[in-house]
Amino acid sequence: MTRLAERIYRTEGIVLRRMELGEADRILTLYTPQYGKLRAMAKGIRRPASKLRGHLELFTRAKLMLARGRNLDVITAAETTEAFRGLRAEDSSSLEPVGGAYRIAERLDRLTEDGVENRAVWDLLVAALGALSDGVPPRMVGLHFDLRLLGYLGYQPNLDSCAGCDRPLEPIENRYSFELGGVLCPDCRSHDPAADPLSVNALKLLRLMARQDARVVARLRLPEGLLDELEGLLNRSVRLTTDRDFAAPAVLRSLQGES
Amino acid sequence: MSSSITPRPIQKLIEEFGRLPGIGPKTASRLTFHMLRSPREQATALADAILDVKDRVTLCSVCFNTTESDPCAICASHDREREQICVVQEPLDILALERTGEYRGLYHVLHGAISPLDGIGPDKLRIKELLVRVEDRRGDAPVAEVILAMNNDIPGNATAYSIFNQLSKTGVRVTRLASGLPVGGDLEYADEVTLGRALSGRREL
Repeated sequence: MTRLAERIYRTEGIVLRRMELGEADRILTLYTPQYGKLRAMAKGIRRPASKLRGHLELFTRAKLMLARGRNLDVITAAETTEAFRGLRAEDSSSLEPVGGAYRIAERLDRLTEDGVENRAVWDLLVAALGALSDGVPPRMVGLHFDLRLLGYLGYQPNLDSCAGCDRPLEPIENRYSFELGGVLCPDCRSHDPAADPLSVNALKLLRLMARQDARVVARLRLPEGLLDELEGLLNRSVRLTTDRDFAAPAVLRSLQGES
Repeated sequence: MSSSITPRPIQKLIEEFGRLPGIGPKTASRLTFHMLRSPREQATALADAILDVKDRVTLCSVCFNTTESDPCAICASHDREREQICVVQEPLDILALERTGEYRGLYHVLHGAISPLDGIGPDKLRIKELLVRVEDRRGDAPVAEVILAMNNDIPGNATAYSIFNQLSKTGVRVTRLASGLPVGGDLEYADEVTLGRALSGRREL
C-alpha cells in the first residue's frame, strides 16, 4: 500500500485542450510548471453541479490536486487562480482574444512532449494569455509566442552573426534559414537555397522580440507588411519542427472575416 | 485475444463494438459475449434498431433536428410560437429544453460549436441556414427573437458571439441563456466567473 502523499500531488495548470470521454468525463491537456504538458482526467465535469467545471474551462489557470491513476492521473480538486476574463468573447465582445489563445494552445500542444518540465515555457504561456486578456493585439502576441517558444525548445535562431561564416550581420537584406538555425549573409546564401529573404526591419523586430515581452513590442506601430513577413518566416519554422499543418489559423481567418 | 482460437464472427463484432465512442477492447469483448449468450430476438432487435436509425432518420430541412418526417414535428406544429427560434448545438439539447416545459417556440440545430483545434469554424455549422430563416419575411410570423442556447463554455460562447455578430445586421432581438449558480450548487465551490455572473445578473425577489 503506497502512502497517500505519493498518490496525490499538487500543481498549477492551464487547460489547453479538452476531449469528451464517456457520459460526463473529459480528458484535459494541461500545461503545468512542474510537469510540462500533462494529460489528466476530469471525472463528472460535464454535470452542471460538478465542483470542477468552472475551474477547468479552456485557458483557465488553476491550482490542481491530482491522484495518480493507472493510465491517466485524475483531477480531484481545482481552484481558479486566473480566469483571463478578457479572453471570453462575452466579456471582451470580440472573438479575437480567444482566437489568439486557441492558436497559442495548438502550437504548444503540438510542439511539446508530455511530462517535460520547462518553466520558461510556462511563464511564456501565462504572459501570453495575460496579454491577450488585456487586449494586446493577438497577432503580435502570437508572433512573439512562436519565436520565444521555438527558442525555449532549443531552436533559438542566432540573430547576431551569420550562420554560415559567423561574421556579424550587416544592416542589409539577409536570408533567414530555420534549418541552419539563423540568418545567412549575402555571401553565404548558397548554404541554404530555400532560405527566405529577411529585411533589415524584420531582423530588428526579431531581435527586439527575443529580448522584450509582447506588451512592449505591441506598443510599436508596425506596418502590416512587416508583420506578414515575420508571420511567414515563423509559420514555416514552426511547420518544419512539427511536420504537420495547424488547424486553428484557417478557422481564425474565417472568424476575422465576419467581424 | 489470439486470432487463431477466436472464431472470425466474434472477432468481427469485437472490432465493430470497439469503434464506438467510449468503448475500449475490454468492453467490446464483454458486449460481444453478451450478445452471443442473449436470445436471437434481442440481437435482431438491436440490428434493426441500428439500421432504422440510419435508414429512417433524416435532418429536418428547416431546423436540422433529427426527424422521421420532413419538416419535423416541431416545425410542422401549429401550436408553437413561430416568432422565436432557439439555437442549440446538438439535437439532444432540444430534448433537454423540451423537458423544462418553459419553451413553446421553434429550434435550430447547429450540429456543433466553433472549435479551431478541430478545424471547426462557423462555415462548418448551420449558421448560414439560420440567417436565411431569420431574414425570411414572407411568412405570417416573421422571426422576432433568436435565443442562443449554446453551452456556456469557451467554444459555446465563441459560437454565440459569432452568430450574434452576423445577426446584428438583421435587427432581430438576440438573447443568450442566463448564467449563474446551478440548482443544488454550492456557493463555496463556485468559480469566480460563474459567481460574478450570478451577482451581476441577480434578480429582485
